[in-house]
Amino acid sequence: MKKADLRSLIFMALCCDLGLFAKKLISPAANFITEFLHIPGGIATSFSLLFLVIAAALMPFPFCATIMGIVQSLLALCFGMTGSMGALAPIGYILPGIMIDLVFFLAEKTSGRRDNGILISSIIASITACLTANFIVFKLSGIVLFVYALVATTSGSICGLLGEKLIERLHPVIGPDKATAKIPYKNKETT
Amino acid sequence: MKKKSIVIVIILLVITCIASVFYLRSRNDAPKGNLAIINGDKTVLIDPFSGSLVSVKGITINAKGQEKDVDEIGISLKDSISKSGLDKAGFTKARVVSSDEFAAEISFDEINEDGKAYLAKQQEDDGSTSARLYVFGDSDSKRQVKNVVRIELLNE
Repeated sequence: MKKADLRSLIFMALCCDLGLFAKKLISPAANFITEFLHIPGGIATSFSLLFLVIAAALMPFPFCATIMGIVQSLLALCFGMTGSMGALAPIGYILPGIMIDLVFFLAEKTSGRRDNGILISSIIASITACLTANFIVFKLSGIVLFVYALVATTSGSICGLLGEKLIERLHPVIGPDKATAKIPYKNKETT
Repeated sequence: MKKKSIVIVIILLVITCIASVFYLRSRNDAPKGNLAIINGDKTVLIDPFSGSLVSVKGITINAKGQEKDVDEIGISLKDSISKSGLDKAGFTKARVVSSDEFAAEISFDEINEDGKAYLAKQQEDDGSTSARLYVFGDSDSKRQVKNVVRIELLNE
């Protein structure tokens, strides 16, 4: 297991905060769509999870997203940003983190490239967050749950696409050149 | 940006749009200003704020533990259910559902408790009215439901 340098830890902390507060920032626009569709959410969370995906893709440490999910849940509890999940909010933060790590682990194992897992990890994390919220709070069923999960999947995929682009740009700047040198990225500057 | 990723996103967008159209067309919402009270296979539409209204006063506590004074007008949940006449069929709890399908469950005892559960009259930007559920005495605001469109009476 590689040691995390200070720069990586600062970047992870920044992504934790961005993930947490980005949700609040995008909520009004996301609510406009979800209210029109008569579903209780599914868009803002995907955007929030994008920052976990970015950090997990750029930082080559195992359990990166899980650790960030734990930090986010602690911050959320401290700031009272638990929403309707209340004390169970940590589950909603940690489970998507675990799924992101799992997808990146599998992507690296199967293709040897971490960036192959960006889109899928964003989608899977969004679905996990959506189903967790449904299990704990909303308890939807039938077509409402189907549409809710589909919206989460689609917004997760759009955020994943955005994530791919951002990671490609961030890799030469943030990408730990020594630590992730063995992980090839498409970016011309790094190859 | 990978072409494969763009294709996946487009496919998901198309599927979501199709499913959303089916879902929105299948919804059977009560007209604005009305509430649908459902008990089993019976559905009755009521205008909850058509009769005399009462003062809705109390304190709510949000997830951060902050208290908020509520001073509005509305109707008790018990009276709004009675308006439909479906309470005679018997029920053990009510599920109060908002337009975005967020729901709160209130037991029969809580509904009958004085000063506990109310539907407050809310004025919308377009001039229409909507109902907001307040359940006083809760330690958080989980059972505050905005834009109530349906009350399902359950016998479980």
